[in-house]
Amino acid sequence: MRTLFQILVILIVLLGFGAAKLGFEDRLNQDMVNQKLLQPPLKEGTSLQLGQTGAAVALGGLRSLVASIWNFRAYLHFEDLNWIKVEESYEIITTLQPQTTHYWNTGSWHLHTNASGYYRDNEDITPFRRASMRSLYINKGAAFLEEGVRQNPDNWKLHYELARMWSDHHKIPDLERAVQHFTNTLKCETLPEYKRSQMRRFMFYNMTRVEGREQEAYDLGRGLFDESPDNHLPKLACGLFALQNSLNIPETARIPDLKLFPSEALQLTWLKVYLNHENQDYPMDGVRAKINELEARLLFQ
Amino acid sequence: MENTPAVQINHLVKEFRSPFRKTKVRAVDDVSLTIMPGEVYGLIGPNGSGKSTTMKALLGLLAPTAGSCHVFGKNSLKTDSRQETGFLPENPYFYKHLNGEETLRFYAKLCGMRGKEVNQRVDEMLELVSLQGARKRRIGAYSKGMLQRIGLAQALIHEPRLLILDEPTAGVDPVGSREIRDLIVQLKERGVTVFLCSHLLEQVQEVCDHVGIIFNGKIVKAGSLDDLIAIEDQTEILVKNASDRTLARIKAVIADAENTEFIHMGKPRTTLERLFLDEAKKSDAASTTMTDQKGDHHA
Amino acid sequence: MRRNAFFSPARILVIATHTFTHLVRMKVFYFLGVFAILMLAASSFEMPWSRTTEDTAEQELIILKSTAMGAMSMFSILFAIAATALLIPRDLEDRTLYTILSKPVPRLDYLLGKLFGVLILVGVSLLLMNALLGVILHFRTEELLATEMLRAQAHGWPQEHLDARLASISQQGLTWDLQAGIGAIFFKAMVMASLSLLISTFSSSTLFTIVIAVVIYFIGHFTADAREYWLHSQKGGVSKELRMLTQSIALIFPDFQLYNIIDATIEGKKVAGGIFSRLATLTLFYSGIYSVLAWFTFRKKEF
Repeated sequence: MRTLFQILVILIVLLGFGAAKLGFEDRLNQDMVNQKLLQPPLKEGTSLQLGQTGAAVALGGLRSLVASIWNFRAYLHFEDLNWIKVEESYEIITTLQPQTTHYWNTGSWHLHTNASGYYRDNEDITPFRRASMRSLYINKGAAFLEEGVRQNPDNWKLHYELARMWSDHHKIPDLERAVQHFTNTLKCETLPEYKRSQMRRFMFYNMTRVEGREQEAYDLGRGLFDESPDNHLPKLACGLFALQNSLNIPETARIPDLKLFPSEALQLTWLKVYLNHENQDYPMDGVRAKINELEARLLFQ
Repeated sequence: MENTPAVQINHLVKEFRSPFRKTKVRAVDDVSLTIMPGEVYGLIGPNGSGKSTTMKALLGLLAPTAGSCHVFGKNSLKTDSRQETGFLPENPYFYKHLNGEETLRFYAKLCGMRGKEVNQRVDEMLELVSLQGARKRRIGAYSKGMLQRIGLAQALIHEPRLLILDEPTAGVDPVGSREIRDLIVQLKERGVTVFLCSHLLEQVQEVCDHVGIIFNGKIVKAGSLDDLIAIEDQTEILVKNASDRTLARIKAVIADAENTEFIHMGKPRTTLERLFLDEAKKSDAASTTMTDQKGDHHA
Repeated sequence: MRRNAFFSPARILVIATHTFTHLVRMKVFYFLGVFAILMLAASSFEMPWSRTTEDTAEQELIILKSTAMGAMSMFSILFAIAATALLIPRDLEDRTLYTILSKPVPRLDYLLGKLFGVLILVGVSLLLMNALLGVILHFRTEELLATEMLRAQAHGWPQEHLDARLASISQQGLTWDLQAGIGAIFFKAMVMASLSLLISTFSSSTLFTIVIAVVIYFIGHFTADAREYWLHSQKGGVSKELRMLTQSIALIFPDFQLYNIIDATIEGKKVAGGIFSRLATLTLFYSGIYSVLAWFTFRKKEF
């Protein structure tokens, strides 16, 4: 009787205390989430929902430790070339630590570079299978990053990684997507200032490769060029040069070659290097002609 | 002389409910007793008769179902009542990881003593119970008798006016047992009230001046020891170095008196206990003449 | 005669230090040796990267911290639960409880003394482990900063870039934010210890107490979800029973997910003072309530 009474009192006190602390806890929780100290509550409909809660229960706050251990195991699976296990491991790791950029990056790298490369070079399977497995893993890598971005929308590194992936000509380049990801990267508040110009340059380079966006690219490149001498880099200059030609920009509106390039000798060198990227869809208008012209002039001086 | 009784138990009832069967067990059934300051009171009864329960009620370790207990006027349920009380439970254990000295210091501090007072009392108590030699030894290494003695020391550490002892000599060897009884007498001379319970009846007879007999939770007989066990109509005379002629004359006087009957004359017997203790003392004396550094292990 | 206050800090301290000594003499600190070995192993672990990304240095420090703080977290929760669960039943079994409660010791003092003893133990252990972590982390961070400097010089980075890199690495090293994380570990242990104390006043079995405490610990990680569901969910058409269940969970159980800032500090995130002090206040309230409830049960307990 007495025990029952005691338990009842205790429950009532706890409920009362619970009601009192509810608001306080909720606000504290919100603040912590806002300051990125806590992972946000699970979005409804996330297929990972059960996984995350399960993880929280099972590990009670030691998620980072277990994630590091799994990370190590994942590396061992990688050494064994066991791609299925690698993928599984990274799914678990990112379930535990969805806010750690590094895990998303490494996981997707294993998929879109290592695994796809392995299948591409695998002599034991038919060429058809090689191609399909390669493409499968590249897409898996992309999907993995996309999930990372879904859970960390403001993480510039993940957006950048996606952009890099889709602009990589050793993989399956999709330049429209790459440019879109660069745009997203630039939208991120977390992008540090000193990285901003670099990202915009990268975006420029890739935009020049997309058919139909030459004008847009030119405007961007021009802006970059005029903005700061730090942007007067070889690839930018060559890109602008080619675009000016392909867009038929009138002389008066162009940046003259002497301003674009520090010297004719350098212009020659840079354009020659730029020409090497010919098969990657970079605009090459007037490049060859200019190279020939400069060679002729400079060689006989 | 104070009029407040040291212990006042009024119509104490304690019932225990067994958790699954709804039966109630009355461990203590309407017990009332009063102990005045300076008395040595013995509560005797068989195992399970309610002795320990009564003591625990007096110490506030459990709450009475009905009735009340007071120590020097303070209700036993209040912490204050224990300021004047020292308790030695049956088969006590103490924290094995402490040594004798640390144990006493711990209890002293629990009672609110500080600084020099603690050191002083601890030394006094260790001397009183003859454990100075074992003060640095871990309690885990103490013998039963030593445990009883350190138990007494902790019970007395705060100079209580009431000492409650639950089976103080149970399981203790004759030498240790004698020492404990001597100590009780010493304490009585100092004016400490002692309330003990035991089923070693002869020892109770020797030490206590008041007794209560408890059976099945009820006090069946209580009063001053002398009143209770004196055989009313007989007298004992003990003489030393009497010649046969003197003895014959005494017998004649008795024969002459009216209504007086001669019952018995002969050599009284010493007790087995006294014999044992004498032998123990002699053996101790013999071994102290030989080299003896660590000879403090009494029991 | 001396008057006995209902609640005496001095007496609580006596019992607390005694409890601490008791636990220490149980050779509990040997686990620190295990911890030290673990730490040294973690610090000599080199990242098996065949691809060096820009943030390898940070990742290494994160792994070091996560091993250390994971171990600290685990040990302190284990101690908080086990040591507390052990104390009262032990005293009861050994009958030392009688000798203590028969002295003028208020039962509240006894409970608080035991609790504080355990907390002192957890606190001291954390301090020692923290010191070890601090030393190892400091040296490793310095090493990595130096390496990064060399890399920067070799690649000719702009100063801005280098500063950003150094700041990023330092943020993963020994910072006050990390200490906040360790503080959170202690807070969590504090809540678990007072909870275990409460449970142990009901049951006299150590094992039972530990099991219940562990179960509540796990449920406590659901509390945030339950509360979220109750306060912020717009869904209708959910069974009444489920609704009531989530509401009662949100109210009764402590929200342990709030202490997951531990993970955030491992990753080098900054903890605002306001957040930390609110967490501290909440912890004090939890411990306070559980202690009071423990006293409520214990004061009427019969021995």
